[in-house]
Amino acid sequence: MRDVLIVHSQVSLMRNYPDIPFDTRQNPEDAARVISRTRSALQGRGFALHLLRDMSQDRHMALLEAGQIPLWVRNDRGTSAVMLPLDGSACVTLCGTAHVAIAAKRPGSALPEAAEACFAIDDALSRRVSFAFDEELGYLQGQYGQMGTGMNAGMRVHLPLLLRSPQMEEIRKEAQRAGVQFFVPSAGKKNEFGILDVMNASALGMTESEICQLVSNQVQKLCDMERELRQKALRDAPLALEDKVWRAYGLLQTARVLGQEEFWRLWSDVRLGAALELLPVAVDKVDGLVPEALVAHLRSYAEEALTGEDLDACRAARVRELLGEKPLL
Amino acid sequence: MSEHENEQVLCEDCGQQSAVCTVAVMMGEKVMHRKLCQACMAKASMAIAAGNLGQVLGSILSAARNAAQSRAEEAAEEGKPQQAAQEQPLPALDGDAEACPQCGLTYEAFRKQRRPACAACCTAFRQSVKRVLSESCASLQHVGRRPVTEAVAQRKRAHLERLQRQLEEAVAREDYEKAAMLRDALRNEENRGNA
Repeated sequence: MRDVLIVHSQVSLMRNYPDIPFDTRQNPEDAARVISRTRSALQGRGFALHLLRDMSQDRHMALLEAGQIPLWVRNDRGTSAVMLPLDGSACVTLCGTAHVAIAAKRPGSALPEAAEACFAIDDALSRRVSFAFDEELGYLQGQYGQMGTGMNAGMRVHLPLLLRSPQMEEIRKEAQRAGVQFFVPSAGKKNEFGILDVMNASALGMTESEICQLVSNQVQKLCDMERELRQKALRDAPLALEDKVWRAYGLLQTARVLGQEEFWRLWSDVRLGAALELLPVAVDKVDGLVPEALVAHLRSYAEEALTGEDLDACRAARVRELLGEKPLL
Repeated sequence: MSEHENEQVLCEDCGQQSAVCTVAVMMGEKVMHRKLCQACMAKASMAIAAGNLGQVLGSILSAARNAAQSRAEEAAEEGKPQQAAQEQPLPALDGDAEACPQCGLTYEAFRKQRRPACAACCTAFRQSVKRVLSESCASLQHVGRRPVTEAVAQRKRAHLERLQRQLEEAVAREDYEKAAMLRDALRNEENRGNA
């Protein structure tokens, strides 16, 4: 059964070619070699190559919003490319922090599945090309954190109550000692979205499955703590909690203008209410609002380069449509 | 010294370390690019990979601030000076090459930038690379997956060694019929490998 606290799992495998400089020393000719070599190796495997310099900004943003391509591309020289799979299994980014980055994202707790999708492409590639590999150091990288397996395994969790708790700093330090790092996406000092990304801090000395297990174990601990806090909130202040989530739900269902930041705050509260079954909406449906309510998706939906209030109005309309508008009595 | 060795761009978030990559971040309706150091990149990478919170820039800034603050707090708790070891050049170690044979990066330049510039740097400056890795890794021996070709070669080496061992055992037992079979199998395997 799906753990509703886990939004998604994501795995990346970084690989480099032995004869081409790493990203900091790479010139456009080197990048062209990376692209050409990788494209040849993946020919016939259902990938479409896109050079980022040829991609429209809105298309690029839409892919980023959907998490279909990683954002860490080094495209200031217009040299990066992305290979998108026709079956949506895993994408391959070229000339980012590594020559080749294979990334797969899956909803919920699914690190092994995401890893398997990456391994299939890695195996297909390594039958045709040689990657920089050393018996002791594993896959050689320009980034120390990826040296070894070259793997980043991460999970995004929704922990709105735990992230507001004063224990959080201690929990972060403990997790760091265990070998995982936290990243809290937020607008300022407060974590208003209740989202936490948990990922491995190093990639050497552990197998890929041990890395996945390490991250999963840490996430499980965090989820247990969040569940305790939720039970406590339900026990100690049920009315306040219910009021908070219903207000957010009402606003998303009825707002006529909805800024992106406000959307995220309300989204977090509604997701909490859905997970606690306080609201008549499924968590998957709430998760489905992302990325539909984000800029590039809204522009694509409206078929117009919306900005400002028009964009916020479109977001409100789209959210109402997806969530099911509250009927006016 | 190559022209690249002079390219020192500071991280746009922490402003302390050299930027190692450019990250696309979403500022409302625009994609902007920011140059980040390895530490800031590592903190941001997973959220960035997942994309789409619309506040990624804010998060990177916030994460960098928090990291700097907690580093300062930890240092203060332990009574250490605030400058992180990461910001200093690597100490000189015996056993590393004077320069990378592939890209020409000198050992001095490598110690300053603390990063390999190509795969050959990792082995040319192995001792220093291992020293940096030892700060964050429990073990310095890779135990994960290997390239398919490497894995196949390793399995084949193990198979040949097993055949050779069995052959020696058969000869020792004076089981010449079995030994002849094993010798032929060994030859076939070796010939297949040379083909």
